[in-house]
Amino acid sequence: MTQVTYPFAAIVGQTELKHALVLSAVDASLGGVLALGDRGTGKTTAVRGLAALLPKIEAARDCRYQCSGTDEGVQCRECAEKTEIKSHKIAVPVVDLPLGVTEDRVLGALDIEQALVNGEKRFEPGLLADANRGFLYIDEVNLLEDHLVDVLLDVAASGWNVVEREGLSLRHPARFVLIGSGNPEEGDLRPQLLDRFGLSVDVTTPGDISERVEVIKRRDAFDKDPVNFTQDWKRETTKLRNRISRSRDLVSKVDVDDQMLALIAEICIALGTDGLRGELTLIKASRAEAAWSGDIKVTEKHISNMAPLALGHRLRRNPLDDSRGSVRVERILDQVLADRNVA
Amino acid sequence: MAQNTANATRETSLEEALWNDACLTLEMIALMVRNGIANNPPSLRIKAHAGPVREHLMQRLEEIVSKTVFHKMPVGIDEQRLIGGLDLSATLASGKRIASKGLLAQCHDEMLVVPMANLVPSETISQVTSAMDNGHVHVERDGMSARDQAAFGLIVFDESDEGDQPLSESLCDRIMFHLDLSPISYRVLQHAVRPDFKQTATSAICDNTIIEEICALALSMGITSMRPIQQAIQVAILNARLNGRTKVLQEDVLTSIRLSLLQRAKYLPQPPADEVLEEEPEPEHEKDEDNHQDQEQSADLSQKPLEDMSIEALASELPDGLLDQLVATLSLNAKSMSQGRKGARQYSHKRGRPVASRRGTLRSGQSLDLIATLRAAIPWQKMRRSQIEATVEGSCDRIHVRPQDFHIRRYKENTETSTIFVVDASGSTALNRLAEAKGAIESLLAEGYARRDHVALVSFRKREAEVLLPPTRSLVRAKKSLSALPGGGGTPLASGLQSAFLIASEEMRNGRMTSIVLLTDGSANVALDGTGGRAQAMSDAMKVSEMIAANDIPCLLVDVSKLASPKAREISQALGANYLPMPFVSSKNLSDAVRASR
Repeated sequence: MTQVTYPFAAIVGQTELKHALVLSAVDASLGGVLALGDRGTGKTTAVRGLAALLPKIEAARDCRYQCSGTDEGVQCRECAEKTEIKSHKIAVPVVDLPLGVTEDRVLGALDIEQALVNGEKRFEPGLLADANRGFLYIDEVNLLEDHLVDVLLDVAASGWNVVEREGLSLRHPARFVLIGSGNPEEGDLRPQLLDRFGLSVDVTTPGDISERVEVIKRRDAFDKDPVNFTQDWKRETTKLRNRISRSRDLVSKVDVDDQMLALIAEICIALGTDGLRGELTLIKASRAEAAWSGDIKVTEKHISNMAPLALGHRLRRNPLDDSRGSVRVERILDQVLADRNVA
Repeated sequence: MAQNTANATRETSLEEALWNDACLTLEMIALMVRNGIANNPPSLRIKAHAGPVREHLMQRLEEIVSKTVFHKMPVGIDEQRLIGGLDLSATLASGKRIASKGLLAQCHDEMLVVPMANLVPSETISQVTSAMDNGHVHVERDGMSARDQAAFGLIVFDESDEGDQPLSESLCDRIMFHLDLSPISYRVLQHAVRPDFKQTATSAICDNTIIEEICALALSMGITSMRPIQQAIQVAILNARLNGRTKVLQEDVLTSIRLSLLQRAKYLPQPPADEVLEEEPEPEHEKDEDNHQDQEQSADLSQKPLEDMSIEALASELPDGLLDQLVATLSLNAKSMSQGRKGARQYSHKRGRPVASRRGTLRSGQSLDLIATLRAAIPWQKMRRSQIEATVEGSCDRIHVRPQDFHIRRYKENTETSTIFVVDASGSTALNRLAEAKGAIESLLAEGYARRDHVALVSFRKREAEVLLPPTRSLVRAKKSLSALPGGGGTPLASGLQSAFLIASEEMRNGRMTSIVLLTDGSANVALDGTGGRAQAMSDAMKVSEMIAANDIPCLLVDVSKLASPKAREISQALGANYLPMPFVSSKNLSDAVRASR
């Protein structure tokens, strides 16, 4: 049973969230997206929609990790040993990490059936293998058990899943874009996890009545006839898909000159973000943003667009300052830019 | 004002009106069941304790939807039973991987009943809501992966009272019908008859003006999530269909607001006419002060004529007493609804509560988790047996367990702390120091946040204390309720201490190290029973203080009066508390003092 997903292009409002998701698809190394916000704002809908939107990828046939046939640095052992790899087109994997998942299913484990029937020791890949070269989506990321979070962070950082358990010893590529969503009122996120996400978005319900009515109407139309609704949005979907493909080709060619690098450093220093991860992410995000707008050079505008998304969740939490991280970033940003223009 | 309302309802009593609504809801659910539960699962929250009224309603429902199976969820259900997993004995017997379905999947196309839903742990609630969203259960555990259909109808008994953990908000958000049966007495049921709907329409359309109206109404009631709107539209359509109409009318909207949105409202929409306001009792009015701002914000929305009409109509259609009752519960709603409950529960492992066992070696003081150990050993039996048979003569039909199979039980250590702030928000303090006190508490909250403490907030003013924030670890929530803290009125010190004591004992039962921080000038003038009089107030306060001291709850009293007050000192002695006059207090040494008082 394949469920028709609500088309990404038809989502009303939520421009920030959609933009962040699209950019993470343009540059997978950006570090994923964290969407925090109210209930019933369409976080899950957006993530599911993104999967259907993305262009297909070439993957090796009969490979359990959907290895790329060409990129030799990140292949599993079997693919690396093969002289010739036959590949086919597959949809970008989007893997859900459901609640109550156990560690063995995340990392992969001994195939119990094989062990029982044949007494054979065989590795059964887990969800991290399924998510290789795609997206790993964790709804209610703040409710995830701590030890699973540790495991995920470890793999997300290295891009490799190293299995040493139950007498098995192997490693396989696990490069995925981590997408998390959750409601901060239901429990805070550990700061380590927060920092690991490339971009973060605060999702709010639309306050505008006409926008809300539009949400309801489209959803209703979709529920009544998902197939036709999707068909109606096909043109928009294709347009978006092509733009993502174009930006992907362009992103490696985008240039960030020293002046812009200095600006990025200045912003990070003014905000007092810990570590270099914020700075690196902002550089990458600005590059993706430039590619998305079809530019081959990063400008001040690209940086100021991306700074709230890339840095908002990296600020040290100030309980006396009520405003959201992104608002604080914007405030500092205005200052830095103003100082620059004066100088 | 009475354009399109059937004024008959006005004459019936509140109880009858509520019961009629309940019966109407059952008919709607029956209609949904007829169309197939799995296609569009109904969901109902019943706010009531176990009793004849609830029993009666459930019986009635079972009669109406006669062929439907109802599954009851045990309160302490474990994850394996809930979502399913590997059926160990069947797997071993057959040598093939055999999955067992969980309760949620078993309920597919049937009804799930959750008693005492407000006490169900948040992990379980998350599983239920995730199944409701997806229509299936996604199992990834014990080396198996499955997707079981799980589109079930849901009936939730919300048995929370004031001060209890409220029902999880994320569950509330996904439930279509909300009934409050608590005001209904059994005698009303005797002369209630089943509503008669002869001709129901197979479908009804809902045009854009109606959708716009529902959107606007929901927003003016403080309901921001989009799900309730969709649900209200569905209810309106059901009501139209029940009445044999193919188009949704205004009256359907009113019904849907009553059945679906009213119980979730954070505040009532401000009606443009003053008549309705008069129905609100005056004292309650003051209680709602903190909501007024929001109401003002929504006032500009109510300029729209269409919505005005519905609010008026709604108010006039509501039976006498319901509005009063609603206003009374709304201030409670506004608090509990915005809070949810997960923050408080989520990481709160009680003392010695077992958590998932992990692989490890046996050392002294640790205990073996036998089941987990066997589960780890079982896949290897065939291999180990053949190894052993190769070396040793004869058959070995024992289970072979190796040290690497050992799983060790783990317990969550009890290192959590909980700090209860009791803030005097009476007139005398409000004038002097309330702002400073708020500042000091905010910085303490920040400290507490860094230490991952639980924080609760009680304020007392006027006649009695109010728990602004039950113990939580969410900084967002703590700050929200602190900034909304109003000031002015009498000083019911005893009541404040009593609330703090109740929370403290509950927290201590949960195995947390608990301390109370009291900010007051000590000039109590309202006694426990809400009457004025300094002497009685003071003696009550002393009594409660002694009770707290007797229970060995560490306290800190921060004297917020301008000159150190002898009364405050007296109270602090009774409490056995550390005494800290405010003139010498900066937020830095206040937080040091709090830490030292533990």
